[in-house]
Amino acid sequence: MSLPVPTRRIAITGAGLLCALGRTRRESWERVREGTCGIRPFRRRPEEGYPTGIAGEAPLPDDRSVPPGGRNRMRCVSRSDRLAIWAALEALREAGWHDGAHLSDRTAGFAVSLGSTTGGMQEAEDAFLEAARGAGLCAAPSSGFRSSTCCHPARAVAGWGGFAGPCIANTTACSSGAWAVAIAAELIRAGEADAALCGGADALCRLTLSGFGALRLLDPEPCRPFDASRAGLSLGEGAGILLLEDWELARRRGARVLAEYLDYGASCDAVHLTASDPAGTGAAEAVRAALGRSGVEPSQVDYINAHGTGTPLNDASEVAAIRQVFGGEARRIPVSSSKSLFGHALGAAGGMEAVLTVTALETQTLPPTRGWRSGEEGFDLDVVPARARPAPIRVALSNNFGFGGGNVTLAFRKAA
Amino acid sequence: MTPRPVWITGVGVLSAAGAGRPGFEEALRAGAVPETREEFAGACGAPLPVRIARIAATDPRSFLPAGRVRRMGASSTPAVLAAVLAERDAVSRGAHPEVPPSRRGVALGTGFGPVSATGAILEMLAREGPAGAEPFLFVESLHNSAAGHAAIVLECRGPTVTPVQGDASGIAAAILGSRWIRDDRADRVYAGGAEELSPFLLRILARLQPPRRSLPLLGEGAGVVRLDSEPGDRPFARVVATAIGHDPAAGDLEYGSDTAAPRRVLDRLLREAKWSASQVDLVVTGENGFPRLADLERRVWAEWSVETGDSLPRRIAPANIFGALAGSGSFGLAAACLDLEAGRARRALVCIPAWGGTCQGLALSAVTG
Repeated sequence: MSLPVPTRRIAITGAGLLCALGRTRRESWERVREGTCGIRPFRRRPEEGYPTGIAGEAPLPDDRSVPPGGRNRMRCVSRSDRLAIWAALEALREAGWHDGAHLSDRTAGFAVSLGSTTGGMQEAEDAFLEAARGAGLCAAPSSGFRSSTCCHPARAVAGWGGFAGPCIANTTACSSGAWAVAIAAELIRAGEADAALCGGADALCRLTLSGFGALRLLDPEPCRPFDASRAGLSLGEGAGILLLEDWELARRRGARVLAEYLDYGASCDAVHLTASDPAGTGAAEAVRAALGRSGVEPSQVDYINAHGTGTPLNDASEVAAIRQVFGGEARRIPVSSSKSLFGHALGAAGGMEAVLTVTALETQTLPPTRGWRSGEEGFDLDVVPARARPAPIRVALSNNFGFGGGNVTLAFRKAA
Repeated sequence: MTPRPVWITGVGVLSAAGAGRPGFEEALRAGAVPETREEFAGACGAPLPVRIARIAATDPRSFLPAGRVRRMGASSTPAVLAAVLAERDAVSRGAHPEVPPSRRGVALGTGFGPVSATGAILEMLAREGPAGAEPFLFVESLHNSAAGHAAIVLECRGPTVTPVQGDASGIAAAILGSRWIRDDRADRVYAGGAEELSPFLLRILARLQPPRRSLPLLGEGAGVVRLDSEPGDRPFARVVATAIGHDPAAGDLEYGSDTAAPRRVLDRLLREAKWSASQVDLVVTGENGFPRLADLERRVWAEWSVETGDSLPRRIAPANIFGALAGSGSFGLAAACLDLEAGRARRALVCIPAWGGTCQGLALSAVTG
């Protein structure tokens, strides 16, 4: 069945990234190019006994450098919210919107769509554990609970910027950030917004550290996606936010376009809540739908930013999906995993990896997979080992697959 | 590209009034459901009595295989049952074209998520440290676990998402699901919302209440509608417009006070549906006993009345019956469907301002409208 190609074009005019590699997209990208690993001994580890001592911990900028209008807002927000606000600020600055003051006449046209898996869970844990240690719930700080919901990072960004357009949050496990980008683009195409800040934000917390540990999915060493000896994932945190704009409006205001958002494809494995379909059928369906909706042929795809968690099953499933869709072309297309650089930031991953995919298109450079030494039989993909390398990239895909079986693929094109 | 029509073909509800439509309809007529009274520690430890409309006892094995029930947590089960009830309801209403799994989607929203599972993990962490975490509880603590289970049970291999939009998350899900059908991304979507009232959540809500402030009736439950691209034999209604608004000044876990966001939603719904205000004969509001929301709604409808010069359409607020939070807005959608099907209304607006400042809206028309 042939699917319609949407007519309203969408430009990406700004991008913000805060991750274990740096406080900004530019800073992080420099380290991405070098293949630096941001997965290190975990400094903020809350208590002893967690199953891993390493994580992709993000450095937070000093709140005092927030523009004055938004500084008060930073006082009562969670770490996830802070990550989101900083990445949003960078995206707005890149796009030439600078700060809230310049947006006063456009706020109703600005949408916010963010994904987060745990929201302000870290602060809720602090409050709860303080209460459990004897002080009681009554004495625990209420802000820890108030900002704990998963919609809070989206609300925090909208509140910080005074954005009165649609604000929508989703928590669809590891595909949350990618879903947020897809939803934002739909809002623009439906005429509900002129521009949208979209992506994901998630901070490390006890719940995910202990939960992934209990599932025995954590590699004690920094993860090695697609490597024959891969042994699990590394957790990370951060925020990745894109600024999408209606193409014509962006052109009219003379904005620099980093890349073009084309469309997305989504599917569900509907097999198991945590294990991906070994055949990769659902993931392949998401990739196919993204290509079909974007009007792109497999031969036009020059890069895939993989979900690439580093768990034996996930990577095998993703390789199977890529081979299903691209057949013989699969060997030609570079496929790399950014999680090898900054860890798996769960609900933020889709946003962070979308930012890297857009940066790859902007700079015509393939980001690398770190830690890869050799592929196992059947993994005959070019994973861009160790270091970034220049390459012509016309169309790039970003894959995100999550617990619950949800798969989302975003398609982007070089700005033209 | 021409937008495709979106039909509501099945309604599934699980509430204090029981499982399925008959109990739900009866409660809407009676204007009340059974409630319990429990006491929690409010601000400064003062006792705070809370009225709660809990889900009526329902054996999930009446609807699902025992093996599947064992794999689901307490938080996921109501939403999955509501989705199964919506499917059964649709099937009972006549023939529908077969839809392949790849064209079936799931959008299940929740405001607070699976709080009982999260609370259980936190209690284990406090008691036993990190080693106390259990894989099952962790997976069930993810907000989208209900959507994942529903996708498995109903064989949905299309899009699956979990919006989090305060107590209008169920409406947000219906909006996203409607758009998938409209834009040809799916032919059938199970869309709705769920909320549970675990002791953990109630303790926190009581803790956050200002001194001497009581809570209105709180409710739990799940509501799901089946959306289809084809009407089948007997659809309930058609979704003709959707809109999302936001009040960025709204406080955490509080309702907004600016009428601009709901007004923008209402304006967009009318514009997209190509209706005049006077054509609307039913409005489903979010009113739920929280004074701040009551004040916001009062001002929104006063402005509507002045600006349109029309008398106000009939308004219903199912959250006042089933309890605030119940179904995360989806009970309002279900109630509108029943009114439209019964001919009590022809054009309905569902406009639910939710905590956190969001406002979600749908315009529904009767099948013959």
